[in-house]
Amino acid sequence: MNAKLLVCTKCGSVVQDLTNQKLVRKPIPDDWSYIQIGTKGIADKKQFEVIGRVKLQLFNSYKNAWYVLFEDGLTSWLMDDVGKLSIAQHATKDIEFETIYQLVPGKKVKIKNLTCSLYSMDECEQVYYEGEIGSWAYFSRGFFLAEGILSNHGTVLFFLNIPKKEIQCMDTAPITFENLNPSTILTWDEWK
Amino acid sequence: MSGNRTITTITCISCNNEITPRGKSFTRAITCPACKSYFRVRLSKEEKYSKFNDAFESHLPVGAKGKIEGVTYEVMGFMVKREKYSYKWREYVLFNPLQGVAFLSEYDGHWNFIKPIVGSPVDSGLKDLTFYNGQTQYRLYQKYRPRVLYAQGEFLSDEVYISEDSEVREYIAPPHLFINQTSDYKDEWMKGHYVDSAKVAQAFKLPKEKIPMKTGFGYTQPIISSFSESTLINVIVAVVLLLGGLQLFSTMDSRKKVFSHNFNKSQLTEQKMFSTETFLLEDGTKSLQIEMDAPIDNDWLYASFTLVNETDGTEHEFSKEIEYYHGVTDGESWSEGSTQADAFLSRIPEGRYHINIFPEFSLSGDYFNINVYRNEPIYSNFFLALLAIALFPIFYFVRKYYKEQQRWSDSDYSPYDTE
Repeated sequence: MNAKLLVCTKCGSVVQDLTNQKLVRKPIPDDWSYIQIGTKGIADKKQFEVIGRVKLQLFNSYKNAWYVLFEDGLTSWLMDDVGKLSIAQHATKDIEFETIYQLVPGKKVKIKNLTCSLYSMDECEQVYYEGEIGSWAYFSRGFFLAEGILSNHGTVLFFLNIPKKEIQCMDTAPITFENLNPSTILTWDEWK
Repeated sequence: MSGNRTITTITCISCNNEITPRGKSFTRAITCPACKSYFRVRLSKEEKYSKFNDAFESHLPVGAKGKIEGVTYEVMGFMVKREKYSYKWREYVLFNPLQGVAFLSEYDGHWNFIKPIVGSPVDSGLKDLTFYNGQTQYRLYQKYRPRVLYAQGEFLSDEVYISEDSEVREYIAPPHLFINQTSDYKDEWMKGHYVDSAKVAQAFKLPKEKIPMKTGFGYTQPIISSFSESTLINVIVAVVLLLGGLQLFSTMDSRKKVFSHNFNKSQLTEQKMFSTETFLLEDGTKSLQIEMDAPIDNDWLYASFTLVNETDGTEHEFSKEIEYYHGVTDGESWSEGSTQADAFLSRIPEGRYHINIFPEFSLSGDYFNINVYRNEPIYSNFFLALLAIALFPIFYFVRKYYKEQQRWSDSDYSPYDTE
């Protein structure tokens, strides 16, 4: 498939880099995520398999963005935020960088016919990656990740490039572990 | 561990102790087990550490696992916080890989189990003091800026920094609560509910002596946990309606006059008594009402009665006095007493009866009338039953009022303040 980045899951070497960012190998620190490359599941009534991962180490939290390949050849992102799961897609929003950058958590802004309430604003300290990764803009630290809650109960992620004053968005829709019905996961028996 | 993975280790920035965090790379802040310094885990070396002035005991050991609502959580960290009036409470950070983060908060032996939620719970009417979530009204209990007095263990975010940068609002609808924590980093809502201390001890397999004893009344503690107020009211209404229905049914079985006669003083026998004719009481065992009526005026009449069962000789004795006085004093008319009197006998079996009457006439009274009714409805039992039923709800609501006052006594937003 048209991966922008191919990173060996065994040794971490960058096999193919089409990101124009000259990425280097960075071993991924271990964590308690039960999802792994090879995990299968169901989203939008379609089977998928996890084929890649971008791990964002944020100032006050972390996010795993799992790159998933659906049975029909389409791709998406499965966001994993300390037990909270959502399916994310890149989205174009008619919104200015400054509008989000100036917001503080709790404040609201209009995005088309929806109201977005800013939930969090966190700086990315480090980005890790492995496997096959499709369209993804940020592989280096330094950007801000903001999360907003929409009046239609959806959520949106804003990636803010401060030096370039650029903003990119992802729409996310929550999904439960039960609905995801994942298999080939890390079972962490000690928590049973 | 494969070549693409590393085991997370953290070097204490105070004493250089190498720590392998239980939370792996999820741990964003930690207290060094060696030197007790608290610091945020950051990639840059420009980081400060804190040491706390006081040490506090953790009632739930860091690392302990416990099952709450079917989920096994591990205690990752423990904090003691304080707000402006020096109220101190303990918070335990819990973690499960599938469920994420949760908290147990303890104050004066009262516990709340709390989990972060996505979005706001406010369905309608966020005013300063109240909002609705569904049909339930939540009321602001307290608003404060917490200070962390002590932290031990690991934290999935920099809890000390976030707490001290936050304004926290707690809204309650016992046993539930919502907490809104707003900081420069996050505007987060959490949902919680009261948990009995015995359940916490049981969840973490701790002896009850290790768990602090309850003091006073918890601010989310339910008044009675075994049933809801609406259930209580529904049951009472159902019982009252049932009683009312039974009473109505018994009243519908009509009252029947079985004997009536006028007795004149001139008809008294040598024994100074009257003996009525025989009358028949039918349809089993029922009540009997004897009404005596005399046209007295500023006078009295007294009679003793004996109801005689002609079949088995059983006698029921009773007496009645009628007094009626009236007049005008200082231009105001007054009256006292009545020209009627009733006697009620319950559970009189069917059979043939007569009544022996021994009257005492006053100077002016000459005659009186007797009416005997079968199956007189009994109302006293109904009202006694109502009173008995009312005792528990009266006790419940009075107790509830005082408990609610106690609940809100520590709040700046008490609806019971009269000032």
